[in-house]
Amino acid sequence: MFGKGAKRKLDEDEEGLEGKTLEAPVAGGGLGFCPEGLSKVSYTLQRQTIFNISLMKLYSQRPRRVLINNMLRRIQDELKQEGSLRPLLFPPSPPPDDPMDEGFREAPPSFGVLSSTAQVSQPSALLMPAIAPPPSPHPMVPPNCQVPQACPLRVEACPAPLEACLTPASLLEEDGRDSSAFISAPSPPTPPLSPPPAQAPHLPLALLNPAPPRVPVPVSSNNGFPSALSDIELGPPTAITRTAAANTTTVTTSPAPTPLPPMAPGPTRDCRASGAKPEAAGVLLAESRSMELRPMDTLTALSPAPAGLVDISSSPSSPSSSSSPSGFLSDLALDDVLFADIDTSMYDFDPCVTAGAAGVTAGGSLAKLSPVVTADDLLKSLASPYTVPAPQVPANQPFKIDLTELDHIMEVLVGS
Amino acid sequence: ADIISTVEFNHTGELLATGDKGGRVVIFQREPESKTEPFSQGEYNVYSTFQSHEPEFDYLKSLEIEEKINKIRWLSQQNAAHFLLSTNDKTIKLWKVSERDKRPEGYNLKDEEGRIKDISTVTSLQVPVLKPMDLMVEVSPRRVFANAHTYHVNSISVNSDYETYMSADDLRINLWHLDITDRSFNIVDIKPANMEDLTEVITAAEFHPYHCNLFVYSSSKGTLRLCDMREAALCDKHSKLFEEPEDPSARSFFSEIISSVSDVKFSHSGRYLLTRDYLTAKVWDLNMESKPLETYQVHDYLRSKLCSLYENDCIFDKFECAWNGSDSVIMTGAYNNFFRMFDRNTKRDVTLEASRESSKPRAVLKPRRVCAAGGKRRKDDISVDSLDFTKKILHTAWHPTENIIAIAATNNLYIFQDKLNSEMH
Repeated sequence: MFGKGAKRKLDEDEEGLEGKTLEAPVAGGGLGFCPEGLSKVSYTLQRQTIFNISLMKLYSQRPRRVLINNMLRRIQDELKQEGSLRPLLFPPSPPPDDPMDEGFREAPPSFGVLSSTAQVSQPSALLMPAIAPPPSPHPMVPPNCQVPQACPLRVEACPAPLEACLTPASLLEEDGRDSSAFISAPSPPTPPLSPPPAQAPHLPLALLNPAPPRVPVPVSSNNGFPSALSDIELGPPTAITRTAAANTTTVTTSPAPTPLPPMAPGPTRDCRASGAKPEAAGVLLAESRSMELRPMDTLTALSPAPAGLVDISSSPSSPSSSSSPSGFLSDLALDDVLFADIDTSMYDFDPCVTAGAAGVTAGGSLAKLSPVVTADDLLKSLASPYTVPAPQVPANQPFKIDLTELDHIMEVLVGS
Repeated sequence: ADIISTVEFNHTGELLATGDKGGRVVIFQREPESKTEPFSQGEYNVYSTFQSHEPEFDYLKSLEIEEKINKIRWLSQQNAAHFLLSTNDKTIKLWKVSERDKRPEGYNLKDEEGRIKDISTVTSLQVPVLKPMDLMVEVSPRRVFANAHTYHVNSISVNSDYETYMSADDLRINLWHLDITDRSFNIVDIKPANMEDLTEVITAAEFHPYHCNLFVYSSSKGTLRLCDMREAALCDKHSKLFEEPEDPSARSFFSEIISSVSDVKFSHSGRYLLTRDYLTAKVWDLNMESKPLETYQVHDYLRSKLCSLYENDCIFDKFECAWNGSDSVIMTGAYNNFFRMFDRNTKRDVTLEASRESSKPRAVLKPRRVCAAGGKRRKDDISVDSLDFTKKILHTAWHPTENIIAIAATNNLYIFQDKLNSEMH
């Protein structure tokens, strides 16, 4: 991009960072402490940026993947030392496998598997933004929740777009939200789906969302999230926002009638009614959804997506299989619910990405879908591990990273 | 497809081979000196072109195997024919390049077109003779060394024993006999038992020019390991480890990535090692493992751009490096079609550009200068921000004895020659 003299969006945010921060010694031991002249804020921002970029690149070719992995690991360690995984959310869990090449998969910096409750809280934090954060601090709030104090500071200090992707997490964490709460709480799993019969009505809903500027991002990404999240109180709002957003996306970007909202009233109700366990609900949900999707195949050009959905949901894997080293898919398949949701999100996303529409979304600010590496692509690669080696980002091909998108991807990764 | 992916002189410098992304190998030959035109000496013209590798598909792993030629290495000449090894990601091939300028004529049972004659027309016996004909260069595949690499082959190196060679991929190095294609010996294996522990890959490997038992390989963590094959069949334990301690004050997120070694070359003398990492070229003395003897900044002005370069993947570019014939000058590539030379004795360095405009035939190259952002800018200086990062010179080669260099700039090959009796510049 550089070379071509094209303007880089990130430049504006990074100008200062690049010059000073990036080359500046990263903190006295290289860990988390701000070097002189460098505010913690910008350091954190920079780290987040690099982290995001790294995630985007994770599926590049082998030799460089090792380096990228190391980068992610390093940031992870740094965060651990700071006692907070907040902004980045990686559970120190087994990485997604690379099923090819005699298990040439590399380790950790994975997001992916929610292995321990403590970490689970992170993803949840990210998930929240779309949801109206009700002040219900859970007793199980992890120790790192004291950190929030740093958050406001960060938020104020960096009004840059960059931070849009950071804020939600921290803000929410401030609320003491913790998904371990959701998970441990015997919550009736309300899959976040409220059937939108018509699309129009939801626009307003989306706009009502308490975190308007971020609505587009988190909302769409929210699709990729575990319905396990939906705790009792939050269930309904989540659902609404989510579907609403999905719809809005669809509506604005591809006016064609084709991309129907992935869920229709019927199945959702079923789920609600039947779901006593998240998994069960998930499976059910997935199945019912796929049922509906089938007819839609004919309607949409997106048949691959639904197809994938069917596949996945029809092979239910239990949460416990999550760490199976046999394949990325199974790693992802932490929970069938997750899966169903992921695919849904892919489905939702397809229209806006493939339509090439210049990204208009609910909040009206997601106008940045990068044309080069689409979330679509990434999701596809996630869904089918065997395509992974095909470099997402062709070597040497400069591409633009859109933070909004990154954020979404990250959330999907994490959530899954 | 015609992007040049490797450049290599043979041991006399008479031939120069290039490999490209499309799996082709082009061999150039230096024209003999002409007395009438003294300056025409040493021009290289196409000698032969052949398709070395074809795209393949690994059905078991569902992987495409690119035809791109990753490396070419010449064998030293034993007879009239030349031999070279070429490799893509997986398969190494041995090619014979030979000339033919005569053809037999006057067979008894075949006519000129090679058709069998009707026996009844054969009434007398004649002796076939060789008649001169136009020179023909024949290239034929002699060996195919396949199925030994799980990962991508990044280097091949012919041993000084003239019998063996090695091939290195991301995690392993194999030793081959040039005549045996169905068996190779694994001499280095850094694959961890658990792939999740993998943090380092092999980036390049080369045999010592004289000691057939010694070889070196570099890693993505910036280290060089010298191994002695006499010590053990599997050289998992190195004899020497060359590593520069990290400067804590220069630490950044990108420290590891920019320290990853992209190329390693023994000096002709065998005493030194030249390595290239993202921002620097380093000369190591085989007798000193603790730090490099010399460090040359290739494009230090990029240090403040690392995040962008990471984002656009340029930070992973694998620049190669080369020694001149006397080991006194080193050369390596950079962006914007620039390449750099460093004189080890005078410590002078120069930036030159390989471009159509600046390099008309026999034009003298003008030194170029990149001014770092904020720096004082002189006329003709180019600012860091206007560098073209899509034009990179990754592959360069230096004639084994003379000051002739070959520079691959995407799909162009530039061959520059020193003006008579001048040093650098």
